[in-house]
Amino acid sequence: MSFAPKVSRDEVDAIIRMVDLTLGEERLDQLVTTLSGFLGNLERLRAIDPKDSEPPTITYGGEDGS
Amino acid sequence: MNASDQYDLYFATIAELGSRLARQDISPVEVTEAMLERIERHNDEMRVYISVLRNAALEQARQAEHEIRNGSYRGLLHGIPIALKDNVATEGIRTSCASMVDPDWVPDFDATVYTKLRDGGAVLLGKANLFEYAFSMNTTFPQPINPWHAERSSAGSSSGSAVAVATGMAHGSIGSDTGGSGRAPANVNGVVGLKATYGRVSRTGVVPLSYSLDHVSVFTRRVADAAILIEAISGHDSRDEYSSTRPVPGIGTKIGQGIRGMHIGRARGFTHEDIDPDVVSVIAQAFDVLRNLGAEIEDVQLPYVEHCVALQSSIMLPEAATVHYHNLRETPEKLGQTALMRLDLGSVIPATAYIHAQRVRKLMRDEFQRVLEIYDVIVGPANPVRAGEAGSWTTHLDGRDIDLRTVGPEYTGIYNLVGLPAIVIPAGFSSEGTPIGLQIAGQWFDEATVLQVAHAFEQATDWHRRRPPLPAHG
Repeated sequence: MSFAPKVSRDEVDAIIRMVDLTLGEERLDQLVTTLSGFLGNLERLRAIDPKDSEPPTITYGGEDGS
Repeated sequence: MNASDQYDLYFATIAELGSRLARQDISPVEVTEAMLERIERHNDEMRVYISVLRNAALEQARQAEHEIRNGSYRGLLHGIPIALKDNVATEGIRTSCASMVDPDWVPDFDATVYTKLRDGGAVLLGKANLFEYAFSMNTTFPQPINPWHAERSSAGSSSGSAVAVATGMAHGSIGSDTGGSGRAPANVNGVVGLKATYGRVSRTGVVPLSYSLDHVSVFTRRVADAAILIEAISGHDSRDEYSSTRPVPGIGTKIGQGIRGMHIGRARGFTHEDIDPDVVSVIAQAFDVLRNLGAEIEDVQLPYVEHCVALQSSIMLPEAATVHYHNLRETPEKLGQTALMRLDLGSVIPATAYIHAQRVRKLMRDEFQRVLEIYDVIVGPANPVRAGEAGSWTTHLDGRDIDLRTVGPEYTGIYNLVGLPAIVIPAGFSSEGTPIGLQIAGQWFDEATVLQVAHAFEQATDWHRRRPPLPAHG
């Protein structure tokens, strides 16, 4: 799958260093592609207003009868 | 035992074999020896097991035989040969997770699910093949062969567990299911795959992939057997933070009851919908069966289904990157290419995206609650396309390439996101001869109704009676 880049190689490289990862050239290029694809999907998800929803807690799917 | 009896033994249901073992019509040692011989004949061809536990299995079988002879019968699993996915920790037994990161890991504890099966008297034949750490194909551990069509995928990630059952190389098995790994292999290998409600079955000792999405699943050849297995492994475990304290009712108690008047929602709204004529035809026939059984069927748009790919990526990948934080930094060269790619992505997904996805997930759960006030169960395909190419994420259809990773979250992953119980059962075949399943999901903690509908469908059809052409030579 190919996606229009939403992040540059330099931006991804900077983020990678922040999270203490070291990638070779090939992995970095791959990440630019996968992150661009992810961000495309995320845009649509971001459009949803979660209103007053809080993240599910430890009882998720459990005792609260969900 | 003649060859025909032997063959029937490999494919006996747990309920049938359990009754024979209880009557001492056959002994656990006879059964285990027959199964081990079959595995030794065919495992290289089918790639089902990573580890075969001949000595340990025979020891367990001898113990079961002794207990049954002496009147200490433990129940329907006593002496039944099973398989565990090789990400389920087993004390003193190699647990590889199909990865070169720590391929010879020998845990010093048993996963709760295995403890429960062992307490029920089940006999562990071996540890089944899987995708690396339950989420990525890894050429070092090639995918098991689809027993219906060697050039088609056996799916994943619990493909070894599913193929073991499909080929008569285990009578039941355990898988894990984070986005469909316990149902997708049932869909294409022609067996039953069931995950219970999130929290119903302990994940303690099952190597995690994604804390908030992981479930344990079971594979069997019959719906009633799935009820037996899932009930055996259900129940509260204080060592699993997400484990439910609800009592486990008789999960199979509604099996055999009719479904006349039941309200069934026909799952709709998928991004990729009605794209494979073989799947469309099988599912349409399945709804005819359910209608003829007296169910009332209406289309239902699944809430937020179109966001499942983004939701699953936003949640599963950061959680997986957390699980594998040290592996990714200390031994990245030992991870397969796909695992590396997905863990790299999980490492850079912003925390705000993760939390936003969890908040949307709550909305999704609330909407499903409303849907399930109207419908008893939600029914549909487990995948919009037939089995893809072996060893590939892609299915070719009418000149188009469908990336299965972009469709799976909507069809199976959706029930991990909301934590509903879901089962896949055999429902027909593609024009290529590969199985196509029917998926049934139900209300939280109401596995009984899901199994009721699945069993009614199963009994009205004969897809579950078919046996695959592979392995060759019986």
